[in-house]
Amino acid sequence: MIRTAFFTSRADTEPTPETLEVASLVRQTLSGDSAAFEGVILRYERRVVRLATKLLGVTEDAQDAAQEVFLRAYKYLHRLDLQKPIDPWLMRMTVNVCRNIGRSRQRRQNTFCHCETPPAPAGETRRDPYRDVVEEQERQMLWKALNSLPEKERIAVTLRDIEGLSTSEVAAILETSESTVRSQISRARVRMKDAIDEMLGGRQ
Amino acid sequence: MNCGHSREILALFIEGDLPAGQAERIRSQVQACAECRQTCEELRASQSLIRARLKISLQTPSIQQRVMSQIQNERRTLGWAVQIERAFVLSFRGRPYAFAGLTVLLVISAVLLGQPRHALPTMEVPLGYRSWVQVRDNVYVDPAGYREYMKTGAFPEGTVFVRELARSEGNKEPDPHGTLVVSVKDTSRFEGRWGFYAFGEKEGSVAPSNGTCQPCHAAHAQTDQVFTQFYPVLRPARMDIG
Repeated sequence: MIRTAFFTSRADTEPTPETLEVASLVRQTLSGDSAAFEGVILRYERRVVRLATKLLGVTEDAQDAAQEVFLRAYKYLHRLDLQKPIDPWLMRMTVNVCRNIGRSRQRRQNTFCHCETPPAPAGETRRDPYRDVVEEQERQMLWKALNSLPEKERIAVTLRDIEGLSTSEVAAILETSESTVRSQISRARVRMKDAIDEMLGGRQ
Repeated sequence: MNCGHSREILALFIEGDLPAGQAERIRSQVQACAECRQTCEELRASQSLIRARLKISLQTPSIQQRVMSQIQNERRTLGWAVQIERAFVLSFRGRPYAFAGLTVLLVISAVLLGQPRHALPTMEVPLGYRSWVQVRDNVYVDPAGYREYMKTGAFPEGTVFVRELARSEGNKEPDPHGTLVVSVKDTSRFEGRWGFYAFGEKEGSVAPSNGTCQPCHAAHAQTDQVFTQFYPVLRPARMDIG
C-alpha cells in the first residue's frame, strides 16, 4: 500500500475532476489544514454509511462504522494514491471495518447478528395494506437470507447487486480478481434464488 | 440440466457479468435450451425481487461533526509510527529513485552492522592427540607442526598443542583450567596469533578463552607464546639458545 503511494502510476487515464478536487482536499489536510478533511467527509459519508448499513443491518452500528472509516482514512491519508479515485479505498476500509464489527458482534452474541434488518424505504404511497405486509415480510426474509450467506459471498453480492457496482469495481474494492468476484456472486445469487423459492413455496 | 449449464454460469449471464466471448456462447445455447431459458427467467425474477426489497432508506444525521471532533482529539495522539511513516511518505512522494536508493543503503548498512565483528571459531577436543609428538609428560604437539618447527625453529600456521590437566587419583580438587587445554596457531583469526581453548568435563565445542590464557603466554613463554623452555624435546630447534 505504501508502495503504491510512492510509485504513482502516471500512465493511467487522466484523473477525473472529482479525483482532482479530492486530491487537493487531501493535500490540504496533509499539510496541516484538518478542516479540509470535512470536505472529504461530506462528499462520501452517505456512500459509506449506506454500504455499512447494508453490511451490518443496524443503522447505529453503521454510523459507528462510518465514523471509524473516516478516522482511519484521516490517519492513513498519506498512503492514498492521489492519481486514483478515493472511492475504492474508502469502500475497502468500510468493508474491513464492518467485517471486524460483524465478527466482534458474533463473538458477543450470536442471536444479535441475523435478526436485524435495515429500515425500509419510507415515503412510498401505501395503496394496499395487505401488499405492505407481504412486502415487509419478503424484505425481512431476504435480509435474513442475505445474512446467512458465507461472509465473502455476502460482501461481494452486496457490493455488486445491492450497491450496483460493476464486477471490476467490486474486485478493486476487495483487492481480488474479477474471476474470484464472479464465482462469489454467482454462488450467492443461486443461494438467494433457492432461499426465495423456499420462501415463496412456504407461503403458498 | 440437459445442456450442462450450471445455474451459477446462468446467474452471471443474466446480469451481464460474463466476459463478451463467453456471454455470446451462452446466449446461443440458452436460446436452444428451454430448460436454460426457464432457469434464466427464475433467476431474473429473484434478482429483481432482491433489488426491489433490499433497498434501504437512509435518513441519518451527518457524522461529520462526530468525526471532526474525534480527529481534533486524536491529532495529538496519531502515534509515532504513523507520524514517522507519514513524514517519510510525504518527503519521498514522487521521488521513487531517492526512496529506492535510501532503501538499498539501509539494507546494506543493516547487513554490515548485523554481522558479528570478529566471529571467533569454537573448537572441539582434537581426535587422537595421544599419538602426536609428546613434548612433555602431559603435552602433545601435532606431527606436522613439530616437523616444521624442528626444521625452521618457527611454528607453522595450524600448529596445535594439547596439554592434559589430569591429576593424581587422590586429588579430587578440579583444576581451574579444566581437564584439557589446547592452543592453535591461527594468525588470520586471532589478533595474538594463537587461539587458546580450555575444555571441562562436558563434551562438545567451546569458545576461545584467550582473555584468560594469552596474557601469561605472551609474557612468559619462550618461543612464539609456546613454553618451549619447559619442553625438552623442542630444545634442539630453539633459536634463542642456538
